[in-house]
Amino acid sequence: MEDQDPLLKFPQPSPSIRVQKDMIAVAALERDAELMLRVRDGDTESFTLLLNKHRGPVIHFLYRMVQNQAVAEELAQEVFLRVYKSRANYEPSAKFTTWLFRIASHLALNHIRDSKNERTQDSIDESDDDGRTLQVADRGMTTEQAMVYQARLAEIRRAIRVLPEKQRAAVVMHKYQEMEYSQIALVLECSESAVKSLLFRAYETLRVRLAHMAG
Amino acid sequence: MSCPIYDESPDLLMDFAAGKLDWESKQRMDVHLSKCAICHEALAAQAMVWKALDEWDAAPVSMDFDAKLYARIETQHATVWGNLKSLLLPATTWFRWQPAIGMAGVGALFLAVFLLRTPAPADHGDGVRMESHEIEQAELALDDVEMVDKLFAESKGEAQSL
Repeated sequence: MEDQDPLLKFPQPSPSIRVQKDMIAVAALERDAELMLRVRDGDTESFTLLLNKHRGPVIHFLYRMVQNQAVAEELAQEVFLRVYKSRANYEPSAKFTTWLFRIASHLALNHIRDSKNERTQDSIDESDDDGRTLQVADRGMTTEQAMVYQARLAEIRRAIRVLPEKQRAAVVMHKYQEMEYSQIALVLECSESAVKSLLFRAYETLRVRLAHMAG
Repeated sequence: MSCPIYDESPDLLMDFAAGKLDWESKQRMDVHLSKCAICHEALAAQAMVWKALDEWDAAPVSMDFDAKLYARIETQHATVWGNLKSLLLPATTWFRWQPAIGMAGVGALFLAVFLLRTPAPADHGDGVRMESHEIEQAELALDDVEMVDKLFAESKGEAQSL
């Protein structure tokens, strides 16, 4: 046990890098609130700056939630439209990103619930090959490698898709958006311990479902 | 066999896998992992999940995303203005009646001036009441004088008889 398994050697930041990262994060949060206050006062340039900064993370979050790029972009448009519409009432009482992702997760969860009634999961599989083709092209794979990769990716997507909605949202925010438990709790409007519990159960399910992919 | 960290604080394992632990906690976790088979196994499984999830890249954002969004914002503005207009429409209709209202106002003013300048008709009833009241008073005064005269004459007669 002395020599750790290479799998366990995660990149851990040094203390100084971590402090620097925290300071940058705090400054960024203040900057977001400041920009939003400017938007409230009629400065459209500030809205463009906020859009440039958060467009990617919001669309990627929504894409991993609904697993369809066109729907994700449509929902993201709705998110930013709502932000713009409610600019007059904006008060920097919470982190801007918390507010943004709360809107995004509400829309995503509503869409998932609505679409559950409209179509089966199989039909989602057939219709959402967007993004996958691009990923394969970007990685410069042979046809065989691409097929193996596509199969793995389909399994990962399916494993995430079959998670209960809140577990799915928690995993996407924790893994891909690198959010803290406290922020996920604020977004999902539950306690921090509830978030930890959601994540623990979700990762356990994923471990079982993706176990055959190890090695 | 059980482990208090795995049973009570599994978030420590998640944070370790995510590289979110502070330096001190990470060192303590390293020591614990070197001794605890349960956590070691759980962390290996978590690492596998983490690695698998890393394979799933997000697709790039459409080039026309911003253009579509700004178009929607413009439409929203137009809709808001349209709604505002429809709300104000009754008021604008009212404003179309402004000349007629002005003329009616001028007419009312003339009528008021005419009424103020016309002398008020005399009230005969009150005057009659006033005159009859004065006559009654005069009659009463004369009666009083007569009564005083009578008393004076009677007292004079009594004095002479004495």
